[in-house]
Amino acid sequence: MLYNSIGESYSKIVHYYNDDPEIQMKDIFQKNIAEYSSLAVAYLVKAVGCEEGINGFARSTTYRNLGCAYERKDKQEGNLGGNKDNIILSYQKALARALDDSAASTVTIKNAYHTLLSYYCKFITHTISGGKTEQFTDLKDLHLSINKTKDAKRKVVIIEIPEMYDYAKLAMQDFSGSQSIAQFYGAACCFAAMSKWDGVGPDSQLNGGQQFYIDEAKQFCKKYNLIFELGSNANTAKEFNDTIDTLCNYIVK
Amino acid sequence: MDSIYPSKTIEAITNFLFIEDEIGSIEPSDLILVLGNDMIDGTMGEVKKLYSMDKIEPDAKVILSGATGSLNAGKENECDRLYRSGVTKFGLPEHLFILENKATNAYQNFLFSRQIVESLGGFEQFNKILCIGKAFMLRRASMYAAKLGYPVEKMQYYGTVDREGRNIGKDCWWESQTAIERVLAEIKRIGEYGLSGDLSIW
Repeated sequence: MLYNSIGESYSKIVHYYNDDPEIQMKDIFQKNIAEYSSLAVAYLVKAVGCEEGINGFARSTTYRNLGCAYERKDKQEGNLGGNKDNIILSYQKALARALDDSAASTVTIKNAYHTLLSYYCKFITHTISGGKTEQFTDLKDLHLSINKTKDAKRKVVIIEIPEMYDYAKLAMQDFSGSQSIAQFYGAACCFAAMSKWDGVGPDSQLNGGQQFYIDEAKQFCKKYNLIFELGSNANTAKEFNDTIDTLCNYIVK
Repeated sequence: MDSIYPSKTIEAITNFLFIEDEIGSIEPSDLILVLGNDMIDGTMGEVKKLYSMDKIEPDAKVILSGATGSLNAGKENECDRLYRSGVTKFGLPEHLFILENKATNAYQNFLFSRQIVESLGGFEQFNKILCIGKAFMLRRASMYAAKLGYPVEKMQYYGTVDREGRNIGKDCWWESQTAIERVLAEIKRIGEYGLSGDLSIW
């Protein structure tokens, strides 16, 4: 079935284009890339539909490819979050399919968690920072922006934080020794604490108080130092950990 | 090994569009479909090369397909020009060739050639099928072939490049504006045709 492979081919072109400033300078590529990103999504939507139609069970990788295509489309349009709901739904389905499939490898399941948590982290960071960054570690230096969680965008943030927290907790149960999963879990604790900033928080979905999540994040930092130090990307991991620590200290001030 | 491509974007586009088989991996074929185009001698020169390398069997059926494309309307049929070039210029045996003179586009190349194949007893009479056409058009060609019921498992593709003209090869298409425009338009066209059901997606 070619819908998936053609959609993925268009999506790859957009992915590389998004990180290729030299190509972006050329008018002819600029003129075509928007159509390619739309075609990527259109083909992958078809792919999912066909697979569901045949056996009611689209593959995890097809849903993941669809989420990626939406994400790349948003990036190409400079509109992070534009297709947020479609992206999250696709990644959630990719994870659900992987967990339901007895033949799915551990790597497939871990990748599905990673992709979903990575997008949550990126999107929430972007919203919290008022669009200044999508890198969680940049939040360390953006204390002023963090106050913007109290502005209009905060409502959007609140909707996503409990979801990320729940998925991160599940992921930690399945992959407690994974550095990348641990990082996202720490970030989720941090976001949860931040969302309690003005005492309203995501209410029913996050039951703990602000201090609860700060304590959880801090305990996490202590506990997972070893994983971070032994991980393949120790410097990035340390930076991630420092960011969580800094943010927790900042929140309680 | 270093990539020959100047960027990963170019590489991704190339991998999508240029699906030709490496010449060394092409198996001897007993049915050949030559897609008509305006590069007459260049195309038949490649047919001669493949014949000399035994990629085309001595008793193969070689269908030269094409009336005139839309750009050359009113001119002599492409299949007649291909035939003359093959026989007189490159000395290929006349008995190889069957002319298909109705097709005016790539879809029809496959459609009318299939009718000829059916008159020869159908695809089951042949072991390997080699399609020869412009390199950058072979992705779409393969999708037409699949849509029209050509046996995918028997199909092989060999790409020709007009080195003196637009030079749209997998190793160089990004070097000229005209070639870039043609390649990017072809990619868009495949996407649109595929979604509208004109190409096989299965």
